[in-house]
Amino acid sequence: MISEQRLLTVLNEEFGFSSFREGQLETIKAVLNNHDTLAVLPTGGGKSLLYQLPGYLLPGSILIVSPLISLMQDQVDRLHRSGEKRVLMINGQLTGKSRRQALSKLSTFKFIFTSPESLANPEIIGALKMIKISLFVVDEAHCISQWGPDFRPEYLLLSSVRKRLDLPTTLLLTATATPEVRQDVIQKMGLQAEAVTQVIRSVNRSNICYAVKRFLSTNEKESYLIELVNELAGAGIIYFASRKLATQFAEELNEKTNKVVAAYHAGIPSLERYRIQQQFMDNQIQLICATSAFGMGIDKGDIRFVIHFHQPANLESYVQEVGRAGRDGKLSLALLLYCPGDEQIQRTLNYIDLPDSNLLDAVSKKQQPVNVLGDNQELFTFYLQHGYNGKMIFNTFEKRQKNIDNHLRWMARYVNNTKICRREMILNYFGEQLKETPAPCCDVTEPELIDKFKHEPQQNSEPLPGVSELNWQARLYQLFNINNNKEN
Amino acid sequence: MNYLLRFFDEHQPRRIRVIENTLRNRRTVSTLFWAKQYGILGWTGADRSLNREKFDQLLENLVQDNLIKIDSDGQAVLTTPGILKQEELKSEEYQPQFLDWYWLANTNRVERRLLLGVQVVSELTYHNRHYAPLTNEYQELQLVKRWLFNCRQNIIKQLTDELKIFGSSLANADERLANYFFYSLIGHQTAGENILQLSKQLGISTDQMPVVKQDALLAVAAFANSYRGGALNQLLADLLTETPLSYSANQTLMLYQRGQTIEQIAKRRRIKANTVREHLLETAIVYPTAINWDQLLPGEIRQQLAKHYQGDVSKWQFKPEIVPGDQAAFYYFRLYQLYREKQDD
Ligand SMILES: [Zn+2]
Repeated sequence: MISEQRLLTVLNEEFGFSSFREGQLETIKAVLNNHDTLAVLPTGGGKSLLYQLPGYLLPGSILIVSPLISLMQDQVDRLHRSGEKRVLMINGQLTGKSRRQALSKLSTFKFIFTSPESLANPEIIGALKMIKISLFVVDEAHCISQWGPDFRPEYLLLSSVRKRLDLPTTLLLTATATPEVRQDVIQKMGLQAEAVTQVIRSVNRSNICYAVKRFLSTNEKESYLIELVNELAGAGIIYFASRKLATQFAEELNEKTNKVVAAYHAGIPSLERYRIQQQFMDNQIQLICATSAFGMGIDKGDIRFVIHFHQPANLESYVQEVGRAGRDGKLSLALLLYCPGDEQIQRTLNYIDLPDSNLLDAVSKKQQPVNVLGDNQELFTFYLQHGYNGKMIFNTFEKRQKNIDNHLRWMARYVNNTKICRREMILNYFGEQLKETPAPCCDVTEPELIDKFKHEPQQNSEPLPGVSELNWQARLYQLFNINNNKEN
Repeated sequence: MNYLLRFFDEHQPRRIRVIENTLRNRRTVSTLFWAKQYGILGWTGADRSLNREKFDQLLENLVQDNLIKIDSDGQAVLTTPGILKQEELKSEEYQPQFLDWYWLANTNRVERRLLLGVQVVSELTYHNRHYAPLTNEYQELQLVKRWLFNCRQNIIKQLTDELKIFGSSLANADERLANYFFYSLIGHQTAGENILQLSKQLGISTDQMPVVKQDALLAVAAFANSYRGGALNQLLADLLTETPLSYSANQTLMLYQRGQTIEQIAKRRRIKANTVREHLLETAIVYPTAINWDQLLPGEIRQQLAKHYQGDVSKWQFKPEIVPGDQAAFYYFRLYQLYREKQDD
């Protein structure tokens, strides 16, 4: 049993913090006592600490399963920056000789990141079985739930993976989960609800203010956005429903506003994403145009506003995405722009053409080719390969469709609402009560809310150097610290 | 304007899939042949991250703007506004200068390796160990670590000197290219400039930036290739290929140059005779100086073909009944096209 004092010392020595954030200590103590734990802690950073700190106290390695390569990359980057080099990322890119090399030295890595897909690989599981896994972490654990907004079928395999690894202590992490989703996650992991320590904190972030603006047309929405971006103070993110729009708006806003803007989504090459991330962290870029579908692991403390140009599919995603704002605790804005037809975009993005159960069975018996299943054949074959029959798949997806509709109805209520406090609506959705209304809170309680986030006029960003000012030699010297070397 | 407009012509109908496959480095003999006909062989592998969806979207934009027309066979020509637009763009378009090296390396891999190497050395010069490398790929990290270890002692000076020489040669070709290259590098407390920033600073539209990038990376590959034993050469060596030919085609060529017949090569290499012919065609297209035409295309076959085929080779129709060689007829037909084209140059 490790004392609280010892934990605080480690926190200070390894991370430079003097106190734990809400829920961190409770979670860390639970896993150090070998309790399987579900932690639902609000977005606001400090998540990696929950497994990193135990990593320094436990023997063996920490295995972290992460749903998106970009998120994984970000966690790995963060460990690197903190000076931790015993980090390995096992994913589809690690192949051939270098994979064999890495797997043969697996025990030398303290933190092993991987994807659910990689855990389906026998060679990788075989290597993991050879080493001591002292903690099995599932990041973004709501993905395990069929009712979770980001449900991915590969996650259903994690429960059997856990068994094959001899049931290591398990830590399930998520920022948003309704009671229904929590229960589903625990069950899908093959855990007993009574035996799991649940550390649940409110999703409420009192420094984030909520607002919705409704428009009659996209054009109106667009010109409002340009005007607003010019006036808003500080750094921000705008979410779009497609990569193409995110890219187009990044160029347009760059031209028409005083902010330096860049697009950031899965279609941007990874080196360019690295640059943009760093520049955003350093405030050389003040505004990012992103897609909702792309998990962005940017942990920038002073994001002052998150705007949704298109609504997300559900309130979970909305809360997750606006949760990137105000991690420094200062007042921040979550603004949703709406015009008629927007909900249709989400409906289209989430639409799955569901084949009839007989057809699914016929494919399963190889009486029909797989491609009769249409665009989502991989999804359906996944279920077929894992013991689902046509009827079960059909029912699962029918339920899923109802669930999506239900989520969209909630979004519509949120958007159309002009009377109830928006914070209260969100908390009610997650099964919580609003205890105390912060001031300011939302545009319902305070109609002039958005004005609070505008800056004084004539605040200009520094202009970029022009062609004539570029000097490649000087840049080379700066890269290799050449003047400094001469002085030494 | 997207940079695809430059690949079309007013007179010569061009197969859009050939253009796509060329940019994406899908090197079939047919693609290589037509790419050569269109004068775009140097663009092979210039945009490896391009996918079908994106390519079709870009072409669709050109069609919608009435700049090109695509017929039902997937061949496109410039429209009159297209001709004018292409003319207009010529002055502002970036003109690449290093495309002859297209075969030398996969520029995506060169970029990642080079930038990682520069980043690691840059952080070293600032004595910083706490930073996030620009890639987490295990293999790349290991390779760069080994490179650093092998030439540790004077790596900083060696790399700086080489980059100075390289920078000057880039600036000689085009000052913008040198600036592009150095301002896109990542190092200590600098992530380089992003595409929008570079585009603005260099006065080159964002659509043209992939072309600038490809040019700069081929240039650095060529430099590393020629500067044997240098720091850049050691960093990139395993990414550089020896010849424009694929490995297998090169094996075939070596045997052929030793005087072996197609059948002998096929038997020895345990491949089909047709594959050997494909290899020889590939050679005739991408590495014509390695070809002895009298050996490859005997005089009598040439004379027979000359009776039926004259003029613009890209308009010739293959007619099996008039071309000699039975199963090899198409092979002779293609070779003769390449032969005539070479004579006409
Ligand atoms: Zn309120």
